[in-house]
Amino acid sequence: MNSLEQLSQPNISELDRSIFRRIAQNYLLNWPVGICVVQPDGQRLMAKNWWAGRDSVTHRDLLAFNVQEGLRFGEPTVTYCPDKRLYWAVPIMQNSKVLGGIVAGTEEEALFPSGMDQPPLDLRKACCELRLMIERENLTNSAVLEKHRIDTERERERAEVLHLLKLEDLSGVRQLYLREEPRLLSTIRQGDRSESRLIINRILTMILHHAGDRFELVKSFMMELVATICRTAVEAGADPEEMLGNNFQSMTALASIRSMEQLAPWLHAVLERTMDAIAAHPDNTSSMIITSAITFMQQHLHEPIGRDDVAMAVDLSPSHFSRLFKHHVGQGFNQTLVRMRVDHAAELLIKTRMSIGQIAHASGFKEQGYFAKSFHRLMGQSPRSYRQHQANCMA
Amino acid sequence: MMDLKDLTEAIKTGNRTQATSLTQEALDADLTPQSILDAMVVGMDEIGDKFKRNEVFVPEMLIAARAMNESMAILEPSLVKSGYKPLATAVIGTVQGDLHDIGKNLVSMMWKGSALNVIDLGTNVTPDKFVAAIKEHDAKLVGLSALLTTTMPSMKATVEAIKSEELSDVKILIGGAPVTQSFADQIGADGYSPDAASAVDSAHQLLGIR
Repeated sequence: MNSLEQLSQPNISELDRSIFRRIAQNYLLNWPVGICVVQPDGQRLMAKNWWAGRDSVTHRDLLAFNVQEGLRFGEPTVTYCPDKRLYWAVPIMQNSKVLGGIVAGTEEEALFPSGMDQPPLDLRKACCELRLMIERENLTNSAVLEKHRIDTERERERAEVLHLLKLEDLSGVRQLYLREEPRLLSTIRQGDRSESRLIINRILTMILHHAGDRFELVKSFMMELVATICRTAVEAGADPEEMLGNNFQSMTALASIRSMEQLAPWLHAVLERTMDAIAAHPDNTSSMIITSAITFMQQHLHEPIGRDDVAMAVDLSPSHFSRLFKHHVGQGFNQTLVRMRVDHAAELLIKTRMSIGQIAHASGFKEQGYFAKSFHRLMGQSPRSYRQHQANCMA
Repeated sequence: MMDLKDLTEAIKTGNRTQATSLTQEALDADLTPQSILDAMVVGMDEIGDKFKRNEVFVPEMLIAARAMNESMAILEPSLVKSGYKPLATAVIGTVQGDLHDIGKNLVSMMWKGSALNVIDLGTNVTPDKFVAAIKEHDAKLVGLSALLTTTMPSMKATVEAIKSEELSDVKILIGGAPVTQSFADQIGADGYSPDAASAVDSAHQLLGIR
């Protein structure tokens, strides 16, 4: 029975002193702290080993805040106070009502009981023990606290993954996908499912490498991949509503996936379904146009082609082509063209004995100076040192 | 008598909890370690063939290999006790400058399942380390992996280092996304494998096992 339920009018001021004394006594055996009972507004009622004098309004607010935080996170959280003390608290509850709280506090100096070079006081353990003691006395709603702890843990995991995603270089995976996308699309269209899976497997290998053992990160990458392939499907003519519905269901299912063993069949089902949707719509769409444009660019790299030439080759107005290109490839036409030219030049530098001038020309650069500048910007070294470096490696 | 088909199926579907408990059950039921290993290998071969034919995705292959690996760990002591000896020792690693390990790990796990003793040197392995490991473990096979075009020269350097040590009976198998058969010929490797499943066949072929 809840100790507070014995009281006719549940009120924290009527909390049995003997219960508090028992908690305080046991807790103080292990920890060098002060401990007190406060009302929801932070007003102190009973205390043991607490600091002398009245608490200021600010102080009371702080103690009340600690009780609220203890409830919010489902376990005590340590607050540092300007008076160089640290506090943590557990709410006293009857059902969902907060009647007040039990607060523990210690001086900053007590944090290092055996000297500054020694391990500090295990505050996390101190917090946990206080909560368990109060739960054992049935003075709080442990179910509510547990639920809050689970929620907090989930939020923490989510925040950590978001943080990792920010740190990760997602652009590598995204660029690989964009490079592979036109071929993926055309193999799906041609009904060459085997080749399509091979392309997806290349992307998956890169994803798994980037994410390593961090499973939540693997999930995030997979989510990104599925969302991107769904976008491709819609652009290829699949019914957006159907794709959205499938996508939503898949993402909901993904949330409860906790291991690679569960993830593998999920991914297989989602990818096959999406490829079916793409294959079912053999229309000529923007993705196909961009595929043709990129093929045209590759075939004419050595020529002085520009945006207008490529737009004309795929029967689009230059401005519409520019928009479509950027939307689809993720970077502008000129930027992509220079990248392709530099990649081509790098290949020639390794594979041939052509001079730098000849290579610049063969890669479509009119001026050698511009070639050298572009090459350095994208590859981090000059064409000459790139060739030298590669030759040294081979040697 | 216990049916080992369930173990084959558990390996194939990558259900490692089931695979490990079935392995233990099979051992408790006094089935011969060799028959248990054979059942596992059948499962691994089936998923490997599917992977070779591009019918499954990398994560499916990965979980099957993990299930196999964990079951092997349970089986290994009994296998050794029963007088089982690996067919040969193989050294594997991703070459210097390359930190990618998914493909290499897959090959490593598949080799272990195909009766090879595998020494996995990890990623970014220098030619010297490869040579030292071959000598130390008396390896008859070396697997070199690379995922980056820029690390292909390291592959060449490693092949040359191994050849220059006159470790003539060591076969070198290379693989990885940018690698091709003609590159293998060019640098003097003994074989090339386009994927993890084929790497088992190629290894056995090079070692004259099948």
